Amino acid sequence: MLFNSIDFLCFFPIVVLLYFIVPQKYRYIWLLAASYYFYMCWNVKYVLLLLSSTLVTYIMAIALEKASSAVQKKLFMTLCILFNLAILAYFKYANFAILCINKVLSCLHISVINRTVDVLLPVGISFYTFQALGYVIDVYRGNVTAEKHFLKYALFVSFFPQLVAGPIERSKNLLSQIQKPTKFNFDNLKEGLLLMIWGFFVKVVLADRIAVFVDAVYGNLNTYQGYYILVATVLFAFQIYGDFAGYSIIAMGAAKVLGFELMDNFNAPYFSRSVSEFWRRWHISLSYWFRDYLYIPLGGNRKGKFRKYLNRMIVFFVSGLWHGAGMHYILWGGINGAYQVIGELLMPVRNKLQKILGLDRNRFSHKLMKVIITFILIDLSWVFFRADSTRSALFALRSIFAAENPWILFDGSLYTLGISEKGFHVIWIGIAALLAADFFKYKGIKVRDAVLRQELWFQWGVSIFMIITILVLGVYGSGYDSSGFIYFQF
Amino acid sequence: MRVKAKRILSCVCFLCLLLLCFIKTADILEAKVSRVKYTSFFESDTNFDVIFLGSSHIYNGILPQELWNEYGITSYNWGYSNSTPAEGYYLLKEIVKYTDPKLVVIDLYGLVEYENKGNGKYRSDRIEQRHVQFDMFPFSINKLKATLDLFDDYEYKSDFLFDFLLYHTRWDDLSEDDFRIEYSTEKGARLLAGYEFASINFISENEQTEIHSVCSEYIQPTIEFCNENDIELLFVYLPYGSTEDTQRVANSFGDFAASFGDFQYLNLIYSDSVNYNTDLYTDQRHLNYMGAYKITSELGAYIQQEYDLTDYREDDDYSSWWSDYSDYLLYKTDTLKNQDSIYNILIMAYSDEYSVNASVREESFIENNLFLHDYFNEKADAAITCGADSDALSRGETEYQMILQICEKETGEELMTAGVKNSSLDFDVLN
Repeated sequence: MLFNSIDFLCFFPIVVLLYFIVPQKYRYIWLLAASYYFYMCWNVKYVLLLLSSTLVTYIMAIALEKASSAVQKKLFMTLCILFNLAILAYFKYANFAILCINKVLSCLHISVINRTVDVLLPVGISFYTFQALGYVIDVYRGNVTAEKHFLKYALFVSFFPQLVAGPIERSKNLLSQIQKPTKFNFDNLKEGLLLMIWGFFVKVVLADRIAVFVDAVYGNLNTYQGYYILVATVLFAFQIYGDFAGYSIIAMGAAKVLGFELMDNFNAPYFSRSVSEFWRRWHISLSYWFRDYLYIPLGGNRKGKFRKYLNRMIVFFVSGLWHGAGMHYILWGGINGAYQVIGELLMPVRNKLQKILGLDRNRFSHKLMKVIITFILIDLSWVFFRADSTRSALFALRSIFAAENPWILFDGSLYTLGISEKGFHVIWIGIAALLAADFFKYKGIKVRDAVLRQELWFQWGVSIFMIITILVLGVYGSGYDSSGFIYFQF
Repeated sequence: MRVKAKRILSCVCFLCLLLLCFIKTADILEAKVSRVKYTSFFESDTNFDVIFLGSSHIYNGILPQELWNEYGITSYNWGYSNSTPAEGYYLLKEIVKYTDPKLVVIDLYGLVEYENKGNGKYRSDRIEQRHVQFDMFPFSINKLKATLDLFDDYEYKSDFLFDFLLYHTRWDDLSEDDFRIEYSTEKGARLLAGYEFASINFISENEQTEIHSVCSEYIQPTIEFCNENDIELLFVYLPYGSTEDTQRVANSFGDFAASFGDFQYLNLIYSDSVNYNTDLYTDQRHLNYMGAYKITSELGAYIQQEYDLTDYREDDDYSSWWSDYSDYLLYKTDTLKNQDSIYNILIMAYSDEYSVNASVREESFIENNLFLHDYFNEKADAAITCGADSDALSRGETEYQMILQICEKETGEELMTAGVKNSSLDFDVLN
């Protein structure tokens, strides 16, 4: 069930209402049932995968906590990681692996493998697998104690607001909240609903509208070239942000209504002044997961510069692979890793240039320039993310740099690809609103707190205006192929 | 406790306000076609004795206002484009919640023509047209059943039940018409001004074919529903530019209707009152106003003769029908004045309310034009003045082949004078 569906609009109020009616000590059971129902709405069979991943990590965590020796602990943890990664690999990467092997085999003139794995990618498998693995590693490290209550642990893995697209929660944060549920709190309800409204706006008004244009261009790269691809690529930066951040915000809001505090997954990423800062602000839960469970175990930056750069590249290649089974995703990850490595390698040159040119790093214009350059670098990497293949991505990049049709920006050609002129106005206003909200966030101001501090008429006015705006301007209903959240397949 | 009550009250107030804003927004965004067409049905303070159901053939072909004027029969036309007896069945169940019809006339054209199959069952097509037919009816079990039964697509179903899902996208298409609604005066029908000659090969009425239609499974339930509600049923097939194949289908519906019991079927394809030289619309698939006027008159006479329906023209309780009819006349006159073709002007001036006078230099000007020839032969209040003073046919610098004067018969008020320049009937509006 999608968040932007009638099903969810019926499901959520029922879950909330019953959650607070059920006696406090049994609430986790209701929430667990609701979470499994939520997941089963996609595919009933795949609930078995969720259950087996939950069961294995639950048992292994207890086993490794009780293990007498470090070797045993390590063995249990390794087995647990391998089991989960094997499921992930089979469902997500098997066909990609066959494709890669076939490419190598055909180069060696050896007959290729003709079989493919005919399975549908289970929704959210990458998210809940990482969340469960993070928990096991935390138990192994002694950062948390193993959860003995199976149902509570199952709820930690399957908590519906963040089950299928994150944020990837830490056991320390979420499990403790499951163990000690809070009472109904009116302020939580108001804040949660405001968050959800904002998330829906970003998702259905902005991201889904941009998607119509971007899909039209990237689906026909041979037809729409040059400035079409340039505009689509710039807009895609906001589509993917609106899509993913929108989902995360709805998830945070839904959890907040139920009295749970999820981690913030995005923190004004397009205001970053460097690529490494961007990755501290974008999909924070995943970036931190990779930092804590991959980068640091690889040695982090403790083993010399070369290892540091190598580790960073490994992390970003893996991150690319996590996002999708395709060479263009891996390249996308690699490009983001390379940006950072090259950036650090060029630091002395940049410092020297700054001195020669007399640049003042504290000036607004200098900061703005950095923000713009970072956006351009990130946006160029998005081309690899959005394109269907590496070849398409390279074609799109070539077309952008050789663009010779600037008139399409003025003669109305842009409005012939599914989004009218008025639709584009909505996009520009939506982007301005998103950036304005991020600007306040960047400055440490919570817009929703500011709204909630105002008089009732203002709170109601803002809420009703936003809800009606979403209902009217949102992209949904017939003729609209509900695109789903981009990250669902990852 | 007081805080709790205050919060609950505040939530309820907020939801009420939100609901009000939503209803107003939905009202503005809704496509107004359905409202324009059917508001007069829902606002009527009188009963509708006859209900017409079916495709665009009946929608454009039967004019309830003319039926009222000529026979005093109160009727409403619920036919619409691409509609079949399947939609008609569910529609009828909604209609009887608002009125108590004595007769339902069902056009069978769509039964075979729009037979859309989905897993062996009839499936509704053209979702937007189905919206026009059903949007004015609030949610009901019958509407839910219709939705589940007629559509496969999940989004069609949800849109049909909650039409805001469909209409919310109209925000960039709003115009003055969405805020200032001009309701139709045609009692559900739609009169067409337009003309195209059609050459039709008529076959014998005895030539038949077998009727295969999944849609026919809705006939029996319709009959049962009519029996339960004391409603008589008449099946019709209206004239249009038919092919030999479709004539065979039309010829076969008599036996088809009889297979369900003792039901009347009127095959009007071969009606004497229709003149295919003049009475078809530009697409040749529908009757223009002239054809509709004639066939309405013929059907009215048949209904009056066969069914025990009251003539309400003298009944004071039905005086609103006369005021509605006056509005309809104004609409007709307005439509007539806005036509850009002599054919269309003459078609709109065909009814008895208008007189048409033509002054021509030579009679051959009319004789050589099939439409004009038949028109002036058929129309009761049409006069031709031949060999008129050529000065009268010269206005200013221009010499005309024909001066056409259209007047309101009752008052004698001149509605339009047109000077026709040539045999292509190019014209100037002179008055």
